[in-house]
Amino acid sequence: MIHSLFNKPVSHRAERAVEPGRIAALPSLSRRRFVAGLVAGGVMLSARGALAQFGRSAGHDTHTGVAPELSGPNVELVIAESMVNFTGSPRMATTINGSIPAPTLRFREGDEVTIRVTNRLPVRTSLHWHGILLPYEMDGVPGLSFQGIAPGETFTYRFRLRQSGTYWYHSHSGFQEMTGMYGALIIEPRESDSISADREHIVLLSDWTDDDPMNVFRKLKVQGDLYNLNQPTLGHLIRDISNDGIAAVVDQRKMWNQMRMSPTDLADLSSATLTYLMNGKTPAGNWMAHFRRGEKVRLRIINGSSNTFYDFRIPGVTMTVVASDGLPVEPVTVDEFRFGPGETYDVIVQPEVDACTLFAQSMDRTGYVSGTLATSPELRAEIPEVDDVSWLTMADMMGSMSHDNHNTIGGHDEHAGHNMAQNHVPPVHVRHASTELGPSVDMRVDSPRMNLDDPGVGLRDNGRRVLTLSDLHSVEGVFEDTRVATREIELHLTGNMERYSWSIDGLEFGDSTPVAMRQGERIRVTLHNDTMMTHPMHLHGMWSDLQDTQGNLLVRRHTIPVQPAQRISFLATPNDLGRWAWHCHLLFHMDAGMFREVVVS
Amino acid sequence: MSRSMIYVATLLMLPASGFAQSHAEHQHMPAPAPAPAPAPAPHEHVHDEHEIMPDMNAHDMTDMSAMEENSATVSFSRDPHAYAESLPASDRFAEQGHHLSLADDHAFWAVLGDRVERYGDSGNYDVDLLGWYGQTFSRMGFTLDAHASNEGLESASGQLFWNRAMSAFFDTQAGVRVDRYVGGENRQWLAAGIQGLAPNWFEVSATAYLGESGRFAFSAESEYDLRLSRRIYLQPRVELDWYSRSDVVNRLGRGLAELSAGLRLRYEFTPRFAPYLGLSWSRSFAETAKLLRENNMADEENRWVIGLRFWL
Repeated sequence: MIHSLFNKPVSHRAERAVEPGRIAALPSLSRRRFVAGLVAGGVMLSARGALAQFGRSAGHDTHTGVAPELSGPNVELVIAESMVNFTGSPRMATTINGSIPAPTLRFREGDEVTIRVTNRLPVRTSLHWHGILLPYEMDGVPGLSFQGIAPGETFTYRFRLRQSGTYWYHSHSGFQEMTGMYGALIIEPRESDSISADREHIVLLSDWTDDDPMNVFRKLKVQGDLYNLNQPTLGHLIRDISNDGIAAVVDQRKMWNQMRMSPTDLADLSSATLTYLMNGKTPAGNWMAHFRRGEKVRLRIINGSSNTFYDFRIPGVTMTVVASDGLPVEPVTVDEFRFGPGETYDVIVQPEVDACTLFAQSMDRTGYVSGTLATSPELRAEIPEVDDVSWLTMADMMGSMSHDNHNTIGGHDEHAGHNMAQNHVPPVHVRHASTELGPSVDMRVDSPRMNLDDPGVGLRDNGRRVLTLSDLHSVEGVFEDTRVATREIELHLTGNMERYSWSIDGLEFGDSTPVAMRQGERIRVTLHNDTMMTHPMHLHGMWSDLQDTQGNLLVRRHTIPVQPAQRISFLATPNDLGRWAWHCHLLFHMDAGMFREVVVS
Repeated sequence: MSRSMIYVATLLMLPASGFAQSHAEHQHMPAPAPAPAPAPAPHEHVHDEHEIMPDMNAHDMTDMSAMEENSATVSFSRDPHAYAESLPASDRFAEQGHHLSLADDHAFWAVLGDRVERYGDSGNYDVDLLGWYGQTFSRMGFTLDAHASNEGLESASGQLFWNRAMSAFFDTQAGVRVDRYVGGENRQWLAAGIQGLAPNWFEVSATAYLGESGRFAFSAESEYDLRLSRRIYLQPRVELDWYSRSDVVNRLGRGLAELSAGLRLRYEFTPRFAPYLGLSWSRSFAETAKLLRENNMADEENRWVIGLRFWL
C-alpha cells in the first residue's frame, strides 16, 4: 500500500498555505483525475508511522488495500501526521498508526480491552468508539468525556465490551476525522456468531478533501451553496417547460423560489472538493476483495465519511442485510441501501459471477467510489454510471401536506406512500421551539411526514429494491427493555443554508443547555426535521430503539437518519451515568452546532 | 455568486423587498396546491397559528378548506431549555478544562470583490469591495467603493459597520461612512440599513444616512443572479442614491441624484473567480443633473465594462 515516499513530510497541517479556489488553482488537474483520484492513492507512511504499524500488526489475514488488523484485548495506537496523495497533490493527513483507514481493531465480546493511544500531533486529539456502550470517561469526546489527549501524552482507554458486531472508531476532535482518523472496530460475539459466512470483508467508505477542512467550512459560511454542482439553470427551466408546460413548471417552482430553498440542496460538500474513498482507495485505485465462487461473503460496510451519504449497491448481486449498526436484524434482501456517516450495515452476498463491482455513489450524484469483489485479482466488473440527480420534492420541504406526496414517497412500492393514511396514526402535535423563530432557522415543517418506508430522494422509483428503515427489524432478544416510555423529549433539527448554520431547536451548541436524563428511565425521543437534508443523528452512551408510527419497536440503532420534513420517534434507556454527546454525524453539521450534551444522572 | 455577498450598505430597494420582510421574519411552510387523490390523514396538516398567510390565489384558497378539516396542531412555544431542568449551560464546565469547542465558537472572515471593473470606452475604474469578520449571526464589516480615472482617484466611499442577523434571510447594519471627493469636500455619515435575500432570490439592501448639519441620504440596491448554466451567470442590478440637501461642491443635488442599472455576464471558473463583461447605464436626475450640465458633464452615461468578481 506504500506507493511513494516523500522525504520530508510537512511538519504541520496548519502551516500549509491555504490554496485559493482549488479547481482554479490546479488548472492542470483534470476533472476526471480529481474525482476519480489516483491509482496510487494512499498513505505514504512516515518512517515512524511505518514502524508503528508494522511493529504492532497482529498478523491477521489482510487483503490488498485493507487496513492492518490489531486484535485485542490490548492495543497500542499512535496518532501522527503522515502524507497522503489521493488526487495528485500530496497532502498531510492525521492518521492512526499511519494508515487510512486506521487499523481494524478486532475484539471479543465480554473482554475488557485496553487501548493505549499516544498523541504525536501538535494539537490535542481523541478517539471515540462509535456505538459502543462504555463508561462515559472512556467515550472520547473532548470537553464532555475527558480533556482530550494532549500532544505527547498517552491516554489509556479501558472498558469491558458488552456487545458484538460491526462498529467503528474515529477522532472526535475538530476536523481530524475528516483528515484520516477513522477505522473499523469489530467485536466478535462471545458465543458463536448468529450470522454465518464463509468469508468476510470490511468495506469502510470515507471521503477526503485536499483543502483544509476549516477553510472548507469557512467558505460555506461565505456561500452555503459553494459546492453544489446541481443548481437549477436556465437549461433545466427550458427543458421542464417543454416537457411539462409552463403552468406546471411555475407551479412546481413557485414555492421553492418564494421560500428561497433550493431543490438541489442534497449535500453541503460534493466532488467539487471531495474525493470518495473505499478502504482508503480512490475509484481509480479500485479496492479489491477476494472470494471463491459459491461462498457466502459477509461485507461489514461502514460509512466512516465526514459529510457524505452513500448509496451502496453491487450491480447484479442482491444483498441480504443481516445487521444494522452492529446488531442483527431479520434478514432482508435488497439491491441497494443508503447510509450516512456513522451508520453501518452487514450484508451477506453470494455472487454468481467471478467479479462484481462494489459501487457507492454520493447522494448528490457528483461522484462515487467503487471497488471489486472478484475470484481473481485481475478481474474487473463494469462500473455503472452515476445516476442522474433527482431534485428534492415538495414532500421533502413540506412533509405530508405536499400534493405530490403520493407520487414520490414510498419508492419502489407504489402503495407505500399511502401507508400513513391507511394506518391509523394518532394526530400529531408539532411543538416548535420558541427559538426556531430567529435567524438560525430558514424553514419549519408544520405537517411532518412520519412514514419510514421512503428510501429518500434519488432512490424513489429507481427500479431497484432499496432498503428503508421500515424494512429493519431487530432479531428477537435485542430489545431487552420493553417498558413503555414515561417521558417524552421532542427536538427539532434546524438550519439555515444561506448562513450555513446548523442547530437543534434553532440553538447552536454554544447557546444550548444539556438534556437531562435519569439512569434507568425509559424515554421517548421525537426528532422532527425542519430542514431539507437528511441528518444521521447519533446518540452516545445508549441505544436508540426506533419505533414505527404505531409505536412498535422496529430496530435498535446508534445512529438514526432523519429525512427532510420527517418526524420519527425512538425509545432510549440511559443506563450509564455521565455526560454524553448527541449530534448529527455529518461532521460539518455537528461542528456548526447541531449538537447537544446529554447528562445522565 | 454569493448571495451573502451584498453587504453593501449603499443601496437597495425593489418592489420585491417590501414583502420580503414579513416572510423573513416568520418563514414557514405555507400551504401547497391542493392534493388530488387520497383524503388527508387526520394528522396530515397542521396550522401555524402565528402564520402569516402568503398572497392568496385560487389554489391557496382551495387548500385552506382542506386545512380546516385537519385536527393536528402546531405551536411555537416550546422552551428549548426545558429538558435541561436545573443543569447549567453546556459550556459551563470550561473551568474544569472540559470545554467542548465547536465551530460555532469560531470567527470567520471573507473579502469579496463584487465589482472590480474597467470602463471599456474611457479607461475609468470602479472598485466595489466588502469584507467581514465574525461569527454566524454578528459580524464586523466594511465596504469600499472607489472610482478612478486616468488621472487617479476621483471619489471613494468607505463604510465600517456592525452586521447583525435579524431574521432568517435579513441582516441589520449600523455604522459609519466616509466619502472622499478629490477636488471636493469629504463627507461623513452615520449609517443604518438592512440587507438580505428577498423571496425569489433577489439580493436587496437599503441604507439611510445621517450626515453633518442634518443632511440625510438614502441608497438602495438590488441584484439577481440568473443561472444560464453551471458556470455562466447573467446578473441584472439596479442602484439609486438620494440626498435630502444639495451638496454643490461635490456636484450632488437634492432629490434623486443617480439611478443606475447594469447587466453583467460572468463566467465562473469557480464561484470565487469570475470575470465578466457587462453593460452599465446611469442617469442623474433633478438638481444633480442640472449641476452636472452646468459643469459641462454628462447627466447620463452608457458604457460597457469588463471586470472581475471574486472572493477570498
